[in-house]
Amino acid sequence: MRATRRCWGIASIAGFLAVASAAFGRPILLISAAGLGAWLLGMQYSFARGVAMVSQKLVVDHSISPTHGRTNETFNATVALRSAVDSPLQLSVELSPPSTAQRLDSVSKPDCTLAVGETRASAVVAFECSVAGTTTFESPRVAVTGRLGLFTESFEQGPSRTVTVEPPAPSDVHVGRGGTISATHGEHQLGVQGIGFDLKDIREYVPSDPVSRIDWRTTARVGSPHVVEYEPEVDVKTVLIFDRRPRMYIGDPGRTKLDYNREVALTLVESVERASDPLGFYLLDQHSPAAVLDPSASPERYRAVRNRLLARPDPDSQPSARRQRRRKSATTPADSVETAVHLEDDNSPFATAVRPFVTNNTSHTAQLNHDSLFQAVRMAQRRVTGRISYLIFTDDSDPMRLQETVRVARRGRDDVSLFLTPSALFDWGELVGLEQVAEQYRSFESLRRELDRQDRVEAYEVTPRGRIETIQTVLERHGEQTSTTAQNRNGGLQQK
Amino acid sequence: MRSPIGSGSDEYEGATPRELRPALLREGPIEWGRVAIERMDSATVVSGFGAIWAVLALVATVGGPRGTILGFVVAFVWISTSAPVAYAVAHFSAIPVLPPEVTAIPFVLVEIGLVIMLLGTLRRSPVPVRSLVVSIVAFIGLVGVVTAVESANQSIITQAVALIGVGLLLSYLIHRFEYSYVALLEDDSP
Repeated sequence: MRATRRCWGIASIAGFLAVASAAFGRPILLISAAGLGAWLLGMQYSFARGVAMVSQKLVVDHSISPTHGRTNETFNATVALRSAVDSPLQLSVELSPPSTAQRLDSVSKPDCTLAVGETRASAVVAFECSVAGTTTFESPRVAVTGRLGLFTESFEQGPSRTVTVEPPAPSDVHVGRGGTISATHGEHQLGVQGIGFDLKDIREYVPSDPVSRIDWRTTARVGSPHVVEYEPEVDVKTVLIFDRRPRMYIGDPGRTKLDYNREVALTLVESVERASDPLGFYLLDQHSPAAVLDPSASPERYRAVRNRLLARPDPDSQPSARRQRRRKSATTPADSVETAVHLEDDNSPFATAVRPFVTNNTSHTAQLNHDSLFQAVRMAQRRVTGRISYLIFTDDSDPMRLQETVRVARRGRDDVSLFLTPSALFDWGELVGLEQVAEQYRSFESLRRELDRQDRVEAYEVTPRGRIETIQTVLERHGEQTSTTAQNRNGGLQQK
Repeated sequence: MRSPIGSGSDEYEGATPRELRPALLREGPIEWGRVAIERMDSATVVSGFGAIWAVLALVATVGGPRGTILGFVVAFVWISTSAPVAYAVAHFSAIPVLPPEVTAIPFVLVEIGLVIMLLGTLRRSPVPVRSLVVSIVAFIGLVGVVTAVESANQSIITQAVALIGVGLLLSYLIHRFEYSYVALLEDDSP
């Protein structure tokens, strides 16, 4: 309870009367001071009872819509007051937006007012959030004012609300895999339909079926080509491995490899959530997995994965001049691996001289063991029981270790979906010309196809749409009518 | 002429005299008086009744131009500010103008009007009867403290200090009562 200026004014008058009684020697003024003080105490008691009634009878509904959006999108915060009885005092509510949220309207505070004698009031306030991440709108603060304006009180009532704000997404995400589309991994339709372990049906081969799916035993038995279809296996735990190492920050601001991969990863998380599949998560930093979440199908797990994907990375994990310098003095195997990767594309005399020392000072196994992607896969294999479906988001910076990691990941019945960002299409500004980009992209595509050919492995490229179209044009101009590029042009999954 | 607080308008529902004053100035006293009585809440009616009583008693008790001026001042303060201020002004300004030979009956008549004017505002309370009881008990207690100090042969200064101290203590107790009742103690933490 806080006394207002008016209350202090009246209390001062009562005090003045008491002092005046002493000054003038008139006891009647002392009695009048007692009367005024008693009246003030009565009003104070009245206000306290009113606040108690309000806190018992008032229900504050608080909601934010939508609960999931992007930076600079509008979020509507709704606050509704419902009183079981006519409100004995005037109530006003101010929303408590976080510092990252800005009001869009210029409505003067308070946001919502319930006058004396009313039972319902509501208001909607528009906000937009400028920072990505999880944003919490605290419980609304109800301010109570007495009818004579002598006292005020405020308290929080109603639930707090959390919204997930995603960064502005690249608008030209292209995900392609040689023409076979996957947009609905969570619905178990990723890849070729019917590849699973529970027999569903045997039917005659039709021309649209891949030849590889012909079951030759059945064909030999019945005399015509037949295809065996399997029920998709549903008891699969999805493990999402997301690479956030410095190499993923290549690209223009807001259009880095990380941004494109994150966009696809968020889409897949949503898809997995819709299917209520267990989802695990490994976030890769430079030396080891930075965050590990074991598979779970709880809503909290999906939210946690989404939040970690959206979380602002530690500034130290982003490449900087200081960090680049420090990397030159690598001392750990992981450092030397990272340095070796960095030096691969560096043709300077310094890099040529240093490269043998960096690449040879650790064995291949030691290098692999210190690779955080490899570590994440091995960790998942140790921690997760049952069949694993990996969703790996990384790039093509280190083809050898990537291939080795995929080989390890697809052991047993596990399958791997790789989402690779081709460095060539993100180093755009630093390259000499389109011919060179096309040449590097051809190497990437070769790697992708090589990975994709393996059993239970699907490799997708994640690129800016405009750039891959440009490269395809260049390749076509040079007679590169490969099935891959043609299929990419026709079949890539393009998100907007 | 549009009624400031006529039918269909709740603009002045439950308004205090101070809040009604703009309508008085805008619409004139006759029209304003008619609708004001229709729309004034019971607290204003009771308090106004007490104010009129007190003014008339003051004019009658003091008498002459001084009584008229005193009555006018109290009425004006009640309309323009609030009942507690009018109550204080009435007491303070009555000291020099009340005749020394004033008897108990006129004095009690004035006090009855002032007390009605003051306590009438409690009708706006969500719990008017309880508030009235608290006020009366508090008054008895405060006067009892003053009397007790006086009976101990202490000076009026000591009585005033005791009155202020006990008043502040009671106020703090009500403040704590509210916190414990509403369970807002966590807001009290630094």
